[in-house]
Amino acid sequence: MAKGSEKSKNKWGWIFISLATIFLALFIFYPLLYSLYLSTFTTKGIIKDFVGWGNYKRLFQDNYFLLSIKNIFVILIIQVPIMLFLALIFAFLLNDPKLKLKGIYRTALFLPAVTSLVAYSVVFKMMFSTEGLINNLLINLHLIKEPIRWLLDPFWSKVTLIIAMTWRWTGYNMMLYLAGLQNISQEIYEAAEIDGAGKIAQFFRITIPLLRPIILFTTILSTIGTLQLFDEPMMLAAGVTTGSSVGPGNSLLTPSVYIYNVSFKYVPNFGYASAISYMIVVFAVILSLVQFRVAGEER
Amino acid sequence: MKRKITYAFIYLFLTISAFISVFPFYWMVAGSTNQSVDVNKGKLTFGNQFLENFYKLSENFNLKQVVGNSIQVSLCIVVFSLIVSSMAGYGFEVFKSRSRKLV
Repeated sequence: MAKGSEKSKNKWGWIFISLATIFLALFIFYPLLYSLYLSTFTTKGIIKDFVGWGNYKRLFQDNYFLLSIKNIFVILIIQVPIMLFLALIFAFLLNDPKLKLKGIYRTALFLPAVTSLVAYSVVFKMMFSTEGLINNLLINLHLIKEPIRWLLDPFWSKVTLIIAMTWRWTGYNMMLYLAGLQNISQEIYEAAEIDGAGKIAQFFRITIPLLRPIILFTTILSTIGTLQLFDEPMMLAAGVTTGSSVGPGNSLLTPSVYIYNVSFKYVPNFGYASAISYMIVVFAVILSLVQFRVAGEER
Repeated sequence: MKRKITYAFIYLFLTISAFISVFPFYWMVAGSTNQSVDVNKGKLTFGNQFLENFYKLSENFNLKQVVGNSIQVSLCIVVFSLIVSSMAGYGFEVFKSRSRKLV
């Protein structure tokens, strides 16, 4: 009897989770497997030809793909450390119980994280136009003589993208760090202050070592997020250059934008696009493993 | 004394950062009252073009439908995901079993 009720209990359990399981299978596992299957084909619309490893071989001779990888790594290596370091500093300063107006600063710094990706990209595009706000400001401050061609120069367009992304995501990471700092007792800081440690020493000797797990978490999160970067380069590049170049000289071409172009803008080749997606997954996994290794080293 | 200087720097740094964070929002609002030529030139002050811009917006887009679509989609997502995930959460929490560990 006891066994029977156990069974019927289990049945109800399965019924309750079945809906979530079905959706998980239908919208996550099935697309994952199907795109893996599709990546061994080359497709033109609805015509499919089996090529096996062909798509992956083609990737390494595809200049656009290699360029997109190069672009994303430049952005990744410059943007993520700047952003995370800034976020750490903000979180450290705002965690000080003696600081006044904390709420206002916190809200102001977190505010960018609520904007929609497309909206803020458009605003930054207007601010950084050649005759726009930022150039006017810099000229009036006599920092530059001639307007910088922010969005028309391969180098400066990347700088614009990095500035925009830093503006948008620093507050978000700051909130994660602030949450992590709640677990560090204020007594440690007080003790350090009595011992004569200044703010800078406290930051490097207490905050960073104790926040290590959260720093690792945000690094992995930002890395994966940057690898999938799509909205910002798409919007910043829209309408600036003619033809299919994404940003001047394809300087804003990221793998995700390239996937979009391959699947929707050029002759649709979903097989090749799937192969590119899987390469991004491979990169994300490798980078995450490396970061785990580096951060877990001194444990 | 040294501490006061440190805090002065902290406040200065935070104020500048907060200003940079909030400034694009102000600029967006100010931009909605200016002509697009002025916006591109980086005009900072408020203009008198707000109604004009609003008319143009409602002429080019069916605002009622645009906002309606958003509300429809977000309402459906909220209701549906609440049902699915609370069912799954209840199922996992109340009916414990060996196979639960798989997930």
